[in-house]
Amino acid sequence: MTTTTPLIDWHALGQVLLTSLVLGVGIVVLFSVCVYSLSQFRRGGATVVVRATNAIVMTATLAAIAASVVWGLYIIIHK
Amino acid sequence: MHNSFLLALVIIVALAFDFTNGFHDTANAVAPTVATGALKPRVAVLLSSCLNLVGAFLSLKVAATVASGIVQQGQIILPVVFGGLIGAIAWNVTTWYFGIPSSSSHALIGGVVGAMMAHAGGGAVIWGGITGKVLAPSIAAPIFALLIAALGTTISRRLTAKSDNTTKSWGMRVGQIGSSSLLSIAHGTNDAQKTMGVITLALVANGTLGANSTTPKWVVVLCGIAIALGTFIGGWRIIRTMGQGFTKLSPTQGFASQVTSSVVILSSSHLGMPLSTTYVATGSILGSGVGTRKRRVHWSLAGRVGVAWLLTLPCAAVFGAASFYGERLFGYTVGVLVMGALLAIYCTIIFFLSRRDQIHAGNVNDHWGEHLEAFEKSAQTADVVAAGKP
Repeated sequence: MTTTTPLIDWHALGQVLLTSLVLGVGIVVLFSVCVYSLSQFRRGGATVVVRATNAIVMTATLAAIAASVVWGLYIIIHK
Repeated sequence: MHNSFLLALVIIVALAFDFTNGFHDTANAVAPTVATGALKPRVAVLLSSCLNLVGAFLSLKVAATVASGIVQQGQIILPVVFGGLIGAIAWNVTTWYFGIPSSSSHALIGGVVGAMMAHAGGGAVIWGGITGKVLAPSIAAPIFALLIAALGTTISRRLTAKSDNTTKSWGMRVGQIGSSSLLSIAHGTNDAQKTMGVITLALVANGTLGANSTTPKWVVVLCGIAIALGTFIGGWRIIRTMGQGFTKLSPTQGFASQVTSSVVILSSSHLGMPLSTTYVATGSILGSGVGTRKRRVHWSLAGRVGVAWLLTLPCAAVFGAASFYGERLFGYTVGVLVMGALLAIYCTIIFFLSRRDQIHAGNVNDHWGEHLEAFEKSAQTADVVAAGKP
């Protein structure tokens, strides 16, 4: 019995689509949340609690973006 | 076949191709950044060129695909590689003159395939490799990019709808600097490797390296420097097309399109797919236009660019084959000099023609042209009509 290799690597294409979809949309969403929090942080009249919450959200989203970029580059370099 | 003179010429022309690849594709990474004013044009290309150099050192998977998956390595000879490079440079320079963001990768692959067919016939081309590793990813990737960028732009627009415009605009521009940097690394990773693959192919053809050898370090260094220098020169004509032509880019769109392009290119590079970074970047920019509330995209320009994409592989193949026949006509050693001289004359003519309508860092964001003006007017008319409806 012979096995044939498919002409088009659908599995690899699917992986590209899935990875790009998750990372691409994920990073854009995280950064948008960060920008929104920054906007709320800068808005006048906000209470200390609101400002602190927005600062935490900003830091967390930026850290998540940085982590995903570093992780992505690490995988590319080390595999 | 050992011929050090021919090998040296092939390496020089390969680096020249890498240089044209750099300036032809500068737009992929910097067009949205320049168009939205996130960075000054000169600063944007300087940053991009440095990061292209960094990207060239990250991976060698695409180089391996180009070196072994397109044509039969055993049948390749140096004049074939030379002819392929001449074809690719000729097509790159032509499309640059017309400001068309076509694929340098397809030009390179088309040139090599054309020259190989002229030398040894269609049997020496790995058609399965071209279909599976080049054509399929190149068709799929821009569609992925368009869809993801459209989705990203739509979600981002809604999430930041209640943000104040000044903060939003500033934040997204800062984000664009980051995403443009990532995209430049992605471009260096994917595109510099293609020339590395071709030089490796030449070294194998000359008998300097064994079949299926890995790319030597000096090749990686030279290719990284060549693409970085090309990027620094800045292909302003194509930057204008991509930044101003397809849609009016806002910082939110610019950010979403650049992030999308980066992740699609990096994930493809990781899997060894030599896809066109230009097609991905164009797909992302179009997608970011689709993701806006009014979905303003200049589809007629996109259609014309699409026609150029379809022509890239066959035209570069014809140029590559013609160059190979020319080399054979004069004898390979004299022939490569003659074809190299013809290419130099052609590039000089194109350069002087381009000076009649010069695009540079100072005017890259200026008025695009009559066709876009007409498009904007029709869009404004549509808005007025829509606003008048109950």
